Amino acid sequence: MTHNTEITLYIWPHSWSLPSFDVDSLACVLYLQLLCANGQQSYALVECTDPDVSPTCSLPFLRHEGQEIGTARSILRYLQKLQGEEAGDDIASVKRTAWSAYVDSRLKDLTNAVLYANPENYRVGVHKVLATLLPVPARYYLPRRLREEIRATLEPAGMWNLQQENEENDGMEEKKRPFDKPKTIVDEKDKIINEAFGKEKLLEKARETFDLLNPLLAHHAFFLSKQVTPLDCQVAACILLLRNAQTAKNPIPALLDEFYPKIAEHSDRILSLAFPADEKAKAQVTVGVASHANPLVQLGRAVHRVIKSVSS
Amino acid sequence: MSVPMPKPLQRFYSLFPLRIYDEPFSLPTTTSTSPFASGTGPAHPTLFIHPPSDPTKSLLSTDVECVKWQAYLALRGVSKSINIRWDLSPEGAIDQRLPNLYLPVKQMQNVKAEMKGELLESSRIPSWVDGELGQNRAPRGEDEDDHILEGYVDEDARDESRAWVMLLETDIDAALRATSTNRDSFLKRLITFPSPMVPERPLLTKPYTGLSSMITPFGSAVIITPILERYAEALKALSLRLGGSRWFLGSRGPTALDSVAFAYLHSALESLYPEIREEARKWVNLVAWEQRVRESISASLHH
Repeated sequence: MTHNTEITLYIWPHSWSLPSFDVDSLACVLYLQLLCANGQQSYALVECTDPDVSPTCSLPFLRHEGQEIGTARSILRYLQKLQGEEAGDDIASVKRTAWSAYVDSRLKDLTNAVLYANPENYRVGVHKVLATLLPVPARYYLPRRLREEIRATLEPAGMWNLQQENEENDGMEEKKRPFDKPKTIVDEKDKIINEAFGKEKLLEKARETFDLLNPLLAHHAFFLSKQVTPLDCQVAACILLLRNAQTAKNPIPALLDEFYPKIAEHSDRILSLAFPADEKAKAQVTVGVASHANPLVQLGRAVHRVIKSVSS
Repeated sequence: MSVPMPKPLQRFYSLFPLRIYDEPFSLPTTTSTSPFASGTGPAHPTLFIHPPSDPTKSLLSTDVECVKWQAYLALRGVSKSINIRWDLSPEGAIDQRLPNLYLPVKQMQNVKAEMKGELLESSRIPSWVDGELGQNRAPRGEDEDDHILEGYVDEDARDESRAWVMLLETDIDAALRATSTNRDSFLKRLITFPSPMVPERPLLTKPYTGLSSMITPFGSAVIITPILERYAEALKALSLRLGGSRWFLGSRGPTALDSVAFAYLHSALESLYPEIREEARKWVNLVAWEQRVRESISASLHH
């Protein structure tokens, strides 16, 4: 499979010995690496911290032959089509479409809940990574905006307030309204009970999801197929982040290792297939870094966007 | 292997998580205003839904959630005794979410005049239906297996149905919501405050000003292309999975997945947005299935 122009994939940067700290970006990198592992196709990976570079204002996004493709599932489908392995009409690939939608909502929500919803996990993990990577003005407002976006997705599913009853401020200030009553101070004992309940709620949701995914690995090494598919990369991305991310309190890796070893092994297998230790089998990758634009340039870009959307 | 939960216990558990609501309002016990309510008064359970687009042609609502529950009740065979009303505004419903089911006070010897009926929200309807059906049938041993499998052929099908319900509720729902037009008049839209208590899952949007500039991001523009792509793929997958069978996943009888699938297909085919409609019409077996199920549901709704 040779193409005239190179595939360029923009992702969130690497961290915690994984190619990216974001679920969607990681899934796309894994699949792209697996497709290009035989070395015939080269691609460029751009580590980007500015989501406005993409037309959908979210990373990851793909550029190829003049086309720009936005969300993770669209990217995976496009790559699958390029490879020539278009999703077939047999029952297994139809089932995989349904499971892909399930993983994209439930499992991704679970991963984001562990990484972003719990304020301690967030502070020790993602926030630290983002703060070191972003330049000065964006460092102070961009992580919170990203977290608010994730919150808007998790709250309807009931996954936002799992591990705590009252969100602790931890330096992130909430606007104090004038007639707010002072918050009641939670007792030490109650805090321990709340935490235990929260942990159990999270484990309950995790068990529900893993109980549904585990039987799919019963017959083959990959989900419902003998070869690697985008569904495998989506699941592997979530599991790898759950197991490798830097967190303060994360009961999920222990749950996985004890009850669902197949799922954990599957994700490790995908990672080793995508990034083999063998030196000779390296795909031709150029890794670049897109620098964050100057604040004035960003302002200009934002105004331009508003004018474009008003006039169109 | 999990032990099947006895029905009374299941009904008890369906009350949780406990939510405390304001003092329940009393519903008028005189005959209702809709022409389709039978004149027997409060003796029948009543389902409150969003109004249907044309009550003379079909009693199915315009709101997907309401159609889901109407289809569920009809497919499980309890809708013959249920009236339908659509004159309740959504703000009066529990959680401000219709549909709600009103259960009148049972005719008993010592019933007091001020006893009020019970209003169920939609998540408590399945256990009520189980209770109703359970009273009419002598318990047999096979019923318990059926109950664990929820009507599907085996456990794999039941697990797979979760994935299909999620596909319907994310991809197809997003496409319908992104293209839905507000049917209220301009004046009504001015004076109503949209505030559902339970927020819905956000659509794929991007802010007008972009995320990383110093201006606070405001406004949101829906990114329609990936939403429509996913919708088309979801329909194709549904059609291939249905094949020529009578019910989804080869079940012997209608299941919860069938009622959800019917609700979304019906709304897609009735949508005012031509792309949504045409995409759904492409798949002949889905259209035929929807028509067949709609006829059987309408027959039982109209009693």
